Amino acid sequence: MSWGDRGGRGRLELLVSAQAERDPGARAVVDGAAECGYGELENRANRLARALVDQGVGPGDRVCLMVPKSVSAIVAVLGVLKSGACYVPMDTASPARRLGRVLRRCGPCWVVADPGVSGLVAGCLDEAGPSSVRGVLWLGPVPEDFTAPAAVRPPVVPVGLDDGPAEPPPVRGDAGDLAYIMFTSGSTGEPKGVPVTHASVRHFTSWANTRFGLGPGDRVSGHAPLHFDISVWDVFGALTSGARLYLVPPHANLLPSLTADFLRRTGLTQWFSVPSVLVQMARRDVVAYGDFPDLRRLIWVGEVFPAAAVRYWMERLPHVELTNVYGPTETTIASSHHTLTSVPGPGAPPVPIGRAIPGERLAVLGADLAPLAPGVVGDLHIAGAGLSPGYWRDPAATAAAFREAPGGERWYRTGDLAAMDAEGVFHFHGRADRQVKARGHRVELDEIAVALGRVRGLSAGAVVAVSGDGFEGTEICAAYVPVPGGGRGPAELRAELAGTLPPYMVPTRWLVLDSMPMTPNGKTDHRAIEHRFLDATRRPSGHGSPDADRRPAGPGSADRCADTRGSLEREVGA
Amino acid sequence: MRGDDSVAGRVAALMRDSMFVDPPDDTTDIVASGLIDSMGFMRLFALLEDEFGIEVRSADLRLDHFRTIERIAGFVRDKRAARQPAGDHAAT
Repeated sequence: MSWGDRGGRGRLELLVSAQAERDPGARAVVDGAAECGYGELENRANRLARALVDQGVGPGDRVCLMVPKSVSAIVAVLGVLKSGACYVPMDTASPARRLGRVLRRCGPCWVVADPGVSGLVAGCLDEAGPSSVRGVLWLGPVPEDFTAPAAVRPPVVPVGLDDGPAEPPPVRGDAGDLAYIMFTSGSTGEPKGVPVTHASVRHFTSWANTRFGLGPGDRVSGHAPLHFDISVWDVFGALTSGARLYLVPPHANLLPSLTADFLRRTGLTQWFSVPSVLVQMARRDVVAYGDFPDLRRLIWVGEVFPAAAVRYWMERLPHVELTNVYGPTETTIASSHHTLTSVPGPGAPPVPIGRAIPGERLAVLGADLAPLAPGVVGDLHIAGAGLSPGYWRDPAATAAAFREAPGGERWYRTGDLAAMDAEGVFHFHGRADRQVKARGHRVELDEIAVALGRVRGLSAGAVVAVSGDGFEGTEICAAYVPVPGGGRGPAELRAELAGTLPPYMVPTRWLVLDSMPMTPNGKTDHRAIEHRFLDATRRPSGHGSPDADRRPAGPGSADRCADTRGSLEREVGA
Repeated sequence: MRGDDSVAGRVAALMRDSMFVDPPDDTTDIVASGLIDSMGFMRLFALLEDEFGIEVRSADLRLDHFRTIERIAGFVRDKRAARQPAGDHAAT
């Protein structure tokens, strides 16, 4: 029997079911000591799907997942798709105030929650307000300490994943339906939802699984959190090919040595990660020559991977193929790729973002959507099978970013600057706006600026990003002018921002100013503020202050960066 | 109570003034309480190396060394003690 015959051809959950039918005993997901076979995964997802359908969930609906990365989280993703709805992965490390706004934007919606985050769920419901959430389904008994806010009393349903009927509900929807909505940083201060269809995910995963040769013998990393779209290939790349998905536990990310231990212990064959992790491992030299003997492929996305750190990895792991993939959430996981064929020498240019994967197109286009000549840096656009239908309930943002060319083709303007070389290979040249990549995450500096503007005790604030030579990554920096007599310190402000922003968006460097630098036409002079932070970075250790007018908020952090980078250069043999 | 010129006091000052995190006391688990994450550790190592003239090597990268200000201070003292026989004087 073919799954395609049951309707819903090309839907992701059916491709996973086909693997469960092929070999139900094969291990599917490993999370530390917890393991789950394909057959069991299928049964648990069916039970959740039935509970969702019983609540009235179906195609076109949204189910927000508040489940830390675990076997249960993967069950939840599959269960939601089986119900016909799309999943909205929520970062359980983010504050309730931000997550509540996501619930509101998705409303009416349902929540699938892990009993371990009951306090966060209550906080989100309170923030989301009445009528956003139609029901909360707990993966297990309803937590005793959970009390829904008085104004918001959605039905609360416990779901037992381990017993009860495990027959799948009837297949609903088709491959043109949404598979997920990922919320990314938004420059207006509101998180921005990017919906993606089953067909777009399938387009990428079938190309990538073929290109990288994924199969039942593979052990694949699940490194990124589920609210980060590279997790989509981890999950569906592995589970549609019969491979085994190894979830990287949060503690393995804390120190580069622990990440390396995890790779050794699991014997991963494929690792999909971000440069900020790989650079830290190089910086602290935790990889031995010939380490990770089972590893075949190292793939990165999301940030520039400095050539010196690339060289470190290639020299230590000559048995591993390194590939850069590139693409924003709006075009589904990645849209171009470049595999390294030789070790970059000293002073080598950055690794290219490569060529488009089949079925997608990259182009550097001018204002009229006409292509620019090779070698000319301009706005990078993407078209083809990965394109999102447009931002969730935001027609203005959609119209600004997704545009139709005279021939009728839809192009997404990435906001990245790039140039195509004479061979048709694309090279990244930075951003055209105030979006940055920090620790692998895509961050709109203006979202942080909006949050900073809501903090009391400041008469002015500004947020910039500073990157040195790339080894320390991009640092988010905040400068502010306190109200007279209202001197709040950076540690206090930082803690307050952590109550409204996800951890990776909270500024790590701070500067107290007497007055905010302004441009001649009366706007905050971000460039001048960047220079203040950069000057502090370049200054030799232990002297001076980044701000001549006044005590710097963090002389140590700023001054010591120079030394840090110097030692990295030595360590990676630059 | 420690004096602020103690190793623990200097570690606490580094965290407060350069990383903008302020653990309530020297025995607070900064990992479990979420005060520090992976990038925070990278920054902390660079600060410790500069402040105390030590080198944080790959073999030192064990969470148990860095869970609390007290343990970080102990780690720093051990590293500095290990350097002394070689006649290499750490910064005060």
